[in-house]
Amino acid sequence: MADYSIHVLEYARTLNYPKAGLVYGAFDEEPVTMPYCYVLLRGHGHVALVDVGYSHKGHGQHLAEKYNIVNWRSPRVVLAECGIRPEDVDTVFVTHAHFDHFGNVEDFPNATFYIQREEVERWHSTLSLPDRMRWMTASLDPASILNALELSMTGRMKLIEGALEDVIPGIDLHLARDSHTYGSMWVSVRNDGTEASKDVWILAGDLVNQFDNIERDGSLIDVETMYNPGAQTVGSFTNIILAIEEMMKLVDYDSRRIIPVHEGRLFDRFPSRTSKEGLQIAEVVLADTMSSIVD
Amino acid sequence: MTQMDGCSPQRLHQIDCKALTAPERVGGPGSPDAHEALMRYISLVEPAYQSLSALIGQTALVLLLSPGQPHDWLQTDNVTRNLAWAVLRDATAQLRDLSVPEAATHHHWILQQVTQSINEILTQLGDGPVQHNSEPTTSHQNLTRNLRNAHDMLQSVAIPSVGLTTFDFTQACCSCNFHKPVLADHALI
Repeated sequence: MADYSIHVLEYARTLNYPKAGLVYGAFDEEPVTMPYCYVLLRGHGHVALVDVGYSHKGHGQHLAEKYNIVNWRSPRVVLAECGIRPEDVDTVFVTHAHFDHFGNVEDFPNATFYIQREEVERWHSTLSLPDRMRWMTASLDPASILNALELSMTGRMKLIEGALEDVIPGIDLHLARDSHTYGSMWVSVRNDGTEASKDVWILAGDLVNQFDNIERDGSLIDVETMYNPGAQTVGSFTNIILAIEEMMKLVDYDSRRIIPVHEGRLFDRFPSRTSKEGLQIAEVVLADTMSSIVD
Repeated sequence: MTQMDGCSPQRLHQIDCKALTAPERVGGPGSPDAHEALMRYISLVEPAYQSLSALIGQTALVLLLSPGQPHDWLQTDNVTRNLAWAVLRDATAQLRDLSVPEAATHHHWILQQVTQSINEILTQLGDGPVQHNSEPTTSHQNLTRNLRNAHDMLQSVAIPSVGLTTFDFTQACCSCNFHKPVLADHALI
């Protein structure tokens, strides 16, 4: 029995991305194609997204030109592959305030957004620091904050304080303080609807960028696999590792159940197809009531 | 138009409103000397531009966090308040002291409007506590709208080709593939 369908939807990608940007220490490894994705959850009468990507309005086109980001498509186009319109989305979980996760807010007029209060509060103090510390505000777009503010004016922005269960049935939110960002959030889906679920899926945001963050070869220290954090963090690598361990406990150490959104091999691991726009769609799990969209 | 909530009428206009008496944009720099003057201006205006961008983000965060909070950050958090005003004063002074080539008069004028807008918004935030009910007030909404206008103005004079953007791309998570920007010969700012 599965309550939710979970699909990972690629909306853009960048080519020849240094692996060391996603896996700390991977300096000698081949560059990778890095997808940009958001995750679609459908079930219990809800259409929810984990993150919303970024928009090509404003800076977006510049990003494409300067960072080799290719094949960006709007949410309308991407979601249409699943028979969904942006207006159908009623809930958005924002894992963190980086531009490629929180940039496309205006495209979802009917959604309520959830983000950790700590994520927002800590950016406030960081923005007031001198220019020589500007590294700490990397990837944070003031326009995203303005978007959040405007959402709050209509009651559509919910600031979460720590862990929260059953935001919508079976979906829980978790805080990973001082990790990838100050208030990064990850999402767990108890897909059998039980409290002590044996069917949990984790949407990790950027706490886990690639499989190597969880399944890194550990032969050097005589273990099969080990955790290896991603390179970009304004918090601590320790907290990323601890968050990964918390996720793994929930999935009974089945790493396959932790879903990274910047991992191109995700589309080999799960049933997938390529859309007519050349973007990939992975079907992580299908709810009992739904038909496959990748077959 | 009458004044509302302490904002001058000009602050309520959108960036593209014809009521704003912005200097006309002129053609590209033309001569090498003019090009050099323009590049110098862009280099020198960058700190003020980035400061204004950060201030907009900061102020938006204050407004986002304020409903339900029991205090006004600008009155009780002296360090943060003073920093914000100091940043704004520095940015204002930098803009005032800049040598502005003809090709940049429109750009410079817009930035000055942005500083004035932020000045008024911060002044209003400092006049007393933002309403602390669970629902946003008219004052809150007006401040939000004015902040959005200020951001749109700032973004309207972004020059991505030389890295002058409201969003710092140079340290973004995809910046490993960053290409160093250059100003096109015929760039119109």
